[in-house]
Amino acid sequence: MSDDETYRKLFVAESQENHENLVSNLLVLEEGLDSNAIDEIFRAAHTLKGMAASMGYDAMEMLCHSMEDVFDEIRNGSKKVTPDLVNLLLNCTDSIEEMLDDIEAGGDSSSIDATDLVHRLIAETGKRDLPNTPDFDEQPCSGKSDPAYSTGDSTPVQPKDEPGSHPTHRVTVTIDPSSITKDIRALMVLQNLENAGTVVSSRPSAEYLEGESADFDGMLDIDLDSMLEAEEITSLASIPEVASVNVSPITTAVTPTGAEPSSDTLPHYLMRITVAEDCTMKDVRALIALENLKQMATIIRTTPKERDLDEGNFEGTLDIILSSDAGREALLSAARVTDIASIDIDELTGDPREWNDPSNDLNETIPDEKKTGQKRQDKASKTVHNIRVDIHKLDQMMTMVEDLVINGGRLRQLARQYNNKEVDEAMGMVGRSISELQNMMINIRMIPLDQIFKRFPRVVRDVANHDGKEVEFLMEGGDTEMDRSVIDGLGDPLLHLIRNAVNHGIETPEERIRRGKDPRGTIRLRAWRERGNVVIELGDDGGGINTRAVLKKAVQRGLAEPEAGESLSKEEIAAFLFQPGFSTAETITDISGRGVGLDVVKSTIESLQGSIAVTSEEGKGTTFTLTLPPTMAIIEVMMVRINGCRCAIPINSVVEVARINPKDIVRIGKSEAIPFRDDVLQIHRLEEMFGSNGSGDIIVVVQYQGHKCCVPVDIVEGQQEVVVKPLSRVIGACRGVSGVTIPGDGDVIPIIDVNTMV
Amino acid sequence: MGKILIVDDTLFMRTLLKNILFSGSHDIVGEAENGEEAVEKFKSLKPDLVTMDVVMPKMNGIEALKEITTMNPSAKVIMCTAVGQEQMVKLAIKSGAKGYIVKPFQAPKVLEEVQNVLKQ
Repeated sequence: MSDDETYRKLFVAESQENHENLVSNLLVLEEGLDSNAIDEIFRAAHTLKGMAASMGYDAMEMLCHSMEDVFDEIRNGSKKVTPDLVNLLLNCTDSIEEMLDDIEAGGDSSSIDATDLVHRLIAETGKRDLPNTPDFDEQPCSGKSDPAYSTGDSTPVQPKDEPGSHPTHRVTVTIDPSSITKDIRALMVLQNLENAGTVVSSRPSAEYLEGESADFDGMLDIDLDSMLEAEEITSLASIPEVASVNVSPITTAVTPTGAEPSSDTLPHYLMRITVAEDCTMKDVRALIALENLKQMATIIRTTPKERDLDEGNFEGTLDIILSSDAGREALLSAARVTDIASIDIDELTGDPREWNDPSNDLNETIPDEKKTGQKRQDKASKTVHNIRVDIHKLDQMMTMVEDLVINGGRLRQLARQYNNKEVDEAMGMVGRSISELQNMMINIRMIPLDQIFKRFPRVVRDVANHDGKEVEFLMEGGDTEMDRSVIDGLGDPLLHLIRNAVNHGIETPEERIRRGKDPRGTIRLRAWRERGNVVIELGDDGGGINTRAVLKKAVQRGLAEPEAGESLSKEEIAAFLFQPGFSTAETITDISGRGVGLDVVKSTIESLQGSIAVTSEEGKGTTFTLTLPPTMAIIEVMMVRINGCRCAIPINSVVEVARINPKDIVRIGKSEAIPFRDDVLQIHRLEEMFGSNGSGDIIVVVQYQGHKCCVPVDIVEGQQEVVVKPLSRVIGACRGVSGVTIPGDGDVIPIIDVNTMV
Repeated sequence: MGKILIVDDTLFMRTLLKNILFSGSHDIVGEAENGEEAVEKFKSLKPDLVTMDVVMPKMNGIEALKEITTMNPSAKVIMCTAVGQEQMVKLAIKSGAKGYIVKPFQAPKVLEEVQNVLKQ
């Protein structure tokens, strides 16, 4: 893959994540100002902008930039979040999505025109000079209030005008006129020269450069007190984008250097620093406190040792013996960094040599009983290591694992053929590893339902706004995992059901009030694992299904007998909605709500080996329940033999296995049938596939969409989970076979497609 | 040629930067997705230089920079920034950052800045 292609793929994948993040947090924002949501929005918009700029997608960069300006005003309180504004911002995200789709398809997004949106955003903020408009000033993005942003923060390398300093050098620096950030370059020069000595004064001043210094012309004069040679100073000032540096000596100054007092003569202290319980990386906090103390004190000993702190062996309390003349208050303030729960300090009296002796256990010196152990913790690394893998690579790996299964099976057969027990046993072990590997591969392909769920709040909002309805949308169980291919297939049917629920299920606020309900309707989407399946339930508290109207329609369409209404249950009547004849526009209006394209939903769910059911109570609401296998790669089958050949029948289509009397078989035209219980079942002998199988007396009764038929078999071998392999494209579509499976012995077994048989 | 730790919350930017730095024969000793990870990796990997994104989840680049320079005042950290983030970069420089590069990255400028800071 070329670099460009790699970047494009990465760009699309990460931009899609950020786009989704943007949309979901905009919806949160619409519900009320939420500082976490606005921080997330900022980060997402900023990241999108940066990546788009790097790829040269100018329109997207501009759009994100203009959005940021609006977000900035929302955050600083000068702009209110109105439904219109959220609509505009969501339109912008739609445009970004279009651009991403175009880029993913190989375009450069230039065909998507967002100029109008950009203009509307500018009209919101009143900012005209777009590309040069200063950005939002990068306020807290970590979701917590952040002292790091206050300008009064302590600075390790602060230029200082020391009264005792005398300038030794005059440094004149010219910043390259083409530099877009002359002031920052000048500041960096000042910082570098601080390392050379003391900046006595500068024109313009550091304060000016640190502030809004957009009109800085690039000329900087510095008076420096330094022991360095002119060449060394020149070298320090020669950073990128510096056009010229001129250093001329002024006078010679004496730098006073005082001898450090011996630490023995200074007061000694015992400090106990306790890091807050909820602090992450406690050891780092303790280290920071220790580093700060080192600036003003001589550290004599610590418990645990600093090396242990470095290695992360720290339980939350650090004891330090130090000597310093900085005073108690200064020491306390140096140690008081973020997330420090408490600091105790005691002056030590007695013979300093005792504390200085490293052989003395500090724990014994400490009066407090609470001692910090040096127990080694078997800490699992806190870092989450995730990598992105192309799904096709996983497919390839899966195919390779399956090849391993087949070849392993062959080897085992050979071992048996040559009666070599040792090889057979060894292959048994290999087989176990292979099946573990296979399971692991299947697990790797699992992703959480959130991947599709997170699209839905936006859909509910848009449909509800369009229809003038008020809807609360609740989601649970988004962390339930399913195979990627199942999740991909589920998106559209679920979207359809959710749209229907808002569109036709939930009544207008007026209607709801009239019915004595809360004007705000509720739609609840839930997912959970149940007996090896994943159940997804979508319930609303809307008007429910009008069974009389459904029945009437069913009779009109010839799906039900006019008199059948008496004997049919509510569920059976509701099931008519899944019939293809019901998906007409007419249906939408004359049945209180349902029936639009539900046949398509049903067939999609069934193609994913799942099932769908509906329950409804008129006036109270409707619930759709989808039951799906978490992965299509594995299904449960019944293994049977037909005319000596093994084949697999998916268990979800098997009704029962029964023994029949072959004499009961009747011929109807070319086909055979058998009366069975209250039905007459057509017999499918599958002779085309397996050859003539005579007249066995065992049948497997199968069913698809309510239609039953039966398959005579020699023997039922049992039930098991198998990995489905699709048929190779070389073979092409093969009627009656949905795929093959290869069990451990390497045999290739067809999986019967009941669908095409019934 | 230096050992460099790349800090950015997007794989896209990290890859971009990594390829630029590779082209300058630098050695990428690690990558971090947020400030917290950057601080931990700075401790364990002891890179010669860190490229630090500003806007990141969990702990942003400025906080991470501060923790890094507190641990090691001579740590060489270069901020990755965008036009318009001037105030932020100033704060970073005052907090001990030794340089900065501006998005969208231009390979020669990135390499020049890295080279320069490594020389200091």
